[in-house]
Amino acid sequence: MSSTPVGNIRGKKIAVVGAGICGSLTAWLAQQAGCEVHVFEPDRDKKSCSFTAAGMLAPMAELESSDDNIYRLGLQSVSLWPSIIKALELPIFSRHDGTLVVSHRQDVGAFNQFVNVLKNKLGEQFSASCELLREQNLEPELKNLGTALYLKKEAQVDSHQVLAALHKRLQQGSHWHWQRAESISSQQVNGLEFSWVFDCRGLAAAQDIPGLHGVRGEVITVHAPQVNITRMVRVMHPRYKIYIVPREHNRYLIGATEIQSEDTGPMSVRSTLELLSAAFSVHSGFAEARILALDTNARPATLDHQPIINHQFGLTRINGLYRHGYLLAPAVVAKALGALAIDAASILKQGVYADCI
Amino acid sequence: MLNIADTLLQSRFFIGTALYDSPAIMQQSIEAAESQVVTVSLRRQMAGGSDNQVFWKFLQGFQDENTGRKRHILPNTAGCHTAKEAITLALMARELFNTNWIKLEVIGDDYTLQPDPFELVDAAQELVAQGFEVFPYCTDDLVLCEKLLSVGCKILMPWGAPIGTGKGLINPYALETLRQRLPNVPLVVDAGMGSPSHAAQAMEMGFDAVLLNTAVAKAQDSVAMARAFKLAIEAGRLAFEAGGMVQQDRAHASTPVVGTPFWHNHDC
Repeated sequence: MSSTPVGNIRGKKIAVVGAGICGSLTAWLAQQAGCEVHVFEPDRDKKSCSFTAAGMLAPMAELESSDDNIYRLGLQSVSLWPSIIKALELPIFSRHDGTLVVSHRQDVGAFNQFVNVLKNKLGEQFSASCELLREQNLEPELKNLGTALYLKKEAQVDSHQVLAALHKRLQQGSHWHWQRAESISSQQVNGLEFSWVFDCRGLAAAQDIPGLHGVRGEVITVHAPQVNITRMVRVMHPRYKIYIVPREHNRYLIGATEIQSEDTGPMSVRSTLELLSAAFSVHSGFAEARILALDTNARPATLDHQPIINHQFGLTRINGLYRHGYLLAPAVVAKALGALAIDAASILKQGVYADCI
Repeated sequence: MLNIADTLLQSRFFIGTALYDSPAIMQQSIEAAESQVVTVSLRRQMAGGSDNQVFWKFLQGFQDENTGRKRHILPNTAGCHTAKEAITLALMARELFNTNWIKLEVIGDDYTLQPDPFELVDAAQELVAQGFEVFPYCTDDLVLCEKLLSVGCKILMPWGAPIGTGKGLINPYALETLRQRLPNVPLVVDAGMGSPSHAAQAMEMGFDAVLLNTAVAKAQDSVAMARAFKLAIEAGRLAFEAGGMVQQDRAHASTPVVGTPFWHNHDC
C-alpha cells in the first residue's frame, strides 16, 4: 500500500453502501482522508449484525477454527483499534487485558483439544501470547474452574458505542442518505455519480457475491451485580462454544451459537437454556442476573470463511467478515482503501481531517 | 460393494457435516473421504429450515454430482429427545431432502449423548410404518438391536463409543457378539472413532461400514485425516475379506527348522 498524499483524493465523491462496522469504518476513514462521503443506510432500527456483535478482538481464540490469514488480519486490527478509538474522541469502552479459556473438570478433554490446536497453529508464538495457568488468580471468582489458558493479547470494544461514535462523526462530516441502494454499479448508486463506490452491505449483497450466506448467531445480555469478572471468558465444552464478555457496570454478554440459517427470528428456548445454563455453571452469581436482551442475527459468511475485498473499476465490495466483524474490520478496510491510495494507518496517525471539508 | 437400503455403494465410509472450520473445508474433506453417504443435522445445523439457500445448495450439490460416484444425503435427527420430536423432524427431512432415509437419533442423556433405547424403538416403529428407511443410532446392546429389527429396521448403527469421545471401540466383545448374531444385517459402527486404526478395527471385525464426523472435523488437517480414514476403512475391509489368520498362544516359526543345515543351527 503506497502512502500517496492525502491531497490526491481530497474532495472526491465517495459512496459507501451499508453502515455496519465495515461500511462505517470505510466511510469514516475516507472522510478523515478528505473525501466527500455519501453513506447509504436505510436501517434506522440498528438491526445490522454489527450491533449484535460482542466486539471481541480475539485473534488467538478465533484461530481454533480459522487460519493464519484471519489471525494476521486480527493482530493488525488489534493494533489499529486504540488509534481509531482515540481519533473518534467519544467515550468508547474498551479493554486490553486478555481472555481466560476455562473448562469444567469433566470437560478437560475439550480444553486440551483447544490448547493442542492453538499450540499447533501458533507454533513458537504460543508461549509468547498464551500462558497455561494451573491455578489462575486473574479472576478470583472463577477459581473453582481449574487449569486455565490465558490469551494475553486479546481485547474487546463495546460494539454499540463504536458504531454510535462512527455514525455520529459521519452524520457530522458526511452526507447520510436514509435510503436503500436499489442499484449499485461502478461509480453509481441509485443513479448518482461517484468517483468510487464501496459496497459494504453484508448479507444484503448476497445476490452479487457467489457463495455468500448467513450464519445465525445468538447473544444474551444480562446485568449481574453478583458477578465480578473483568476479562473475557471462553468456556470449552464438547459441543458448545460459549463466551462471556464483561462490559461496564456488571453487564455481561453471553454468546454465541452458530447455526447454518439466515433466520433472524427470535431466540429459541433451547439456545437460551444452553447459553444461560453455561453461564450459571461458570458462576452461580448469574442466577440472580436480569436478562436485558436476547439478540439474534445472521452474519455474512463466504464458503471458506475468508473475508473478501473485490475490486473493479469504480466499485469495491467488502464482505464476508462473518463472526469476525470487529476483529477484522480495521485491517480489511485499510486494505480495501488501498484502491483509492488512502493509507488508513497514516491517517490514524495524522489525526482528524474532518474539519477541512 | 456395499448393498444398503437397496443402494449399491463403493464407499464404506459414511461421514458427518458438523464442526468443520468452514463449508469449503467440509467439502474438501468429504471429497478426500470419497464418501457416498453424507449425514446432515437438520436441527443442529440448519435450525429446522432450509432458508439458507447457499449452504443448502452446497449440500444438495452432493446429490447431483456426476463425477463417477453418486452421493446420498442421510438426514439425521440429532438433538431430539423424544420419539415425537424425532418423527416430526424426520417428516420434515423427507420433504426437504427428498429422501426416505433417516438416521434416527433420540438422545437420552445430554452429556454423553447416549441414545434413549425406549424412545428410539417407538420412533423407529412409527417411521418404518410411514415408509422410512431407518438407520437407528443405537448402543451395542444385543437385545435393543433385536427389538429394532423386530419393528422393521433393516440396518443398525451401534456406537463404538459415545459421540465425540474418540475412544474407539470401547466394548469390542459386545460388537463381536452383534456381528456374530446378526450376520445378515448391515451393521454400521457409528460414533466414537478417534483415529483411523479404530475404524480399521471395526472393519476387520466384519462391520459393513463406519460413520464418523468429529475425528475428521477436529483434526489439525481435516482433509488429510479424511483420506487417512478412507484408507484405513478400505484396508480393514480388505483384511476382513482376505480372512485373517487365527491368533496363536506360542511362537510358530514361519520357516521349518527341520532340515536346516547343522552348521546354521550351531550359530543359533
